[in-house]
Amino acid sequence: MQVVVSVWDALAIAAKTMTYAATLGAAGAVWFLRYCNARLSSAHRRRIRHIVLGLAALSVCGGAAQLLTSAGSMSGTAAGMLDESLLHLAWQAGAGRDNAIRAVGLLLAVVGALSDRPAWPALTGAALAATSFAWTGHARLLDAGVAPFLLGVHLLGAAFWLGALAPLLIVAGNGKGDVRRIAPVTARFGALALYVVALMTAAALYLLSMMLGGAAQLWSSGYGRIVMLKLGFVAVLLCLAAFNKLQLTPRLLAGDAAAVRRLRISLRLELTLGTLILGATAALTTIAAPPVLD
Amino acid sequence: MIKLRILVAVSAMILAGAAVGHAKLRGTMPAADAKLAAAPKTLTLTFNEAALLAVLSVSVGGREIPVTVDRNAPAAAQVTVTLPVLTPGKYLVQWSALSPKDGHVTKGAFSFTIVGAGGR
Repeated sequence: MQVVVSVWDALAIAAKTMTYAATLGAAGAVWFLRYCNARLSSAHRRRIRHIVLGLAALSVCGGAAQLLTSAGSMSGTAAGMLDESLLHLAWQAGAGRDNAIRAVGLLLAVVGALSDRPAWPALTGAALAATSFAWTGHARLLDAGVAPFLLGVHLLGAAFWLGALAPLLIVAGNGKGDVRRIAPVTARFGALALYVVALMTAAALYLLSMMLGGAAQLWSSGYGRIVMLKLGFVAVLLCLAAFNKLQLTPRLLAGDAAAVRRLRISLRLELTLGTLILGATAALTTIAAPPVLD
Repeated sequence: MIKLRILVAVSAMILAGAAVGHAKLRGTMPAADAKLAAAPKTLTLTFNEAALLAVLSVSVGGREIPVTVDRNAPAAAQVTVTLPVLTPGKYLVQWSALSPKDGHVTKGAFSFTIVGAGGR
């Protein structure tokens, strides 16, 4: 079937990418404040808190943009974005519940992040916000139990990983930061990331097998081809993460100041790849359907 | 800039063949491209799953025919709207619907022709 990706699809993908990035980024940054707390300076903590606040606001804006584009897409006109009954329809069809859950989660996370060491309500709020995307969508259509649970695990892992990148970049400073302060932070993140990434990858692969219904769908379906694009970005991201853990972290722990600049470059690349992965995910949830549901 | 263009081009190639999923239109009454001797009194859209009809536009020769869509109606796999008295001509129907399960928008268009003497 020949399909043209419309302007509304492109806008929806952009709004979703922004919402995913901002929500997962805010959630991960709150957890980062907790598990790296003792290793962070007060100046770093303050800057990370600002990031949490900014990303939470961006997430709310992204959610609103999704609603507007959904209404606009239904009407096919820009004026439709402000049509009250279409907005109400979009709100009722899952977007309302998702946005409400996300807003409550982010509120808990932001308020909790204001303290020196975010406590469990903030951590739970961050988890609630990150997993808000599992309440509707393809996984929910697949079944009401296993698939949304796996997606939830995947989202928590993605938030942990992608949400730590901006805080790590702050800690790395301008590339001339104190290596004695940077090394324990990257080592702490790397030690936890090993288990988290393994868990999120396992959850994602199992979920993918449920969605595809066969490896051949990877190249024979539109959904599969976008998955391949996403997997390509993920593979490069995993290589970078492995490089950070196996090469840069030992050098940082040994006091090699030159590794700080490399770390910054690597983190920026990871941020770019993370955005591309989320963009591919947004395309998957907007213009394609899993083969088993098609 | 060149890298960005390459990225956009590669993405476009991958996305070009992507099949839009979600709620799908199974059939319509009148059927697409149907040639009718008499004007239909209603128009029915049948989906593969329960959907919320958001927009339905019926036009002939660029002139919009007023039809009422109940956006407060519960999601249903079959949605019927009442048509006003239609005169002979080629009618274009454009619709959009929302899947209540995943919030995805589906849309499409089809046409039918009334070749009869008109009226009911």
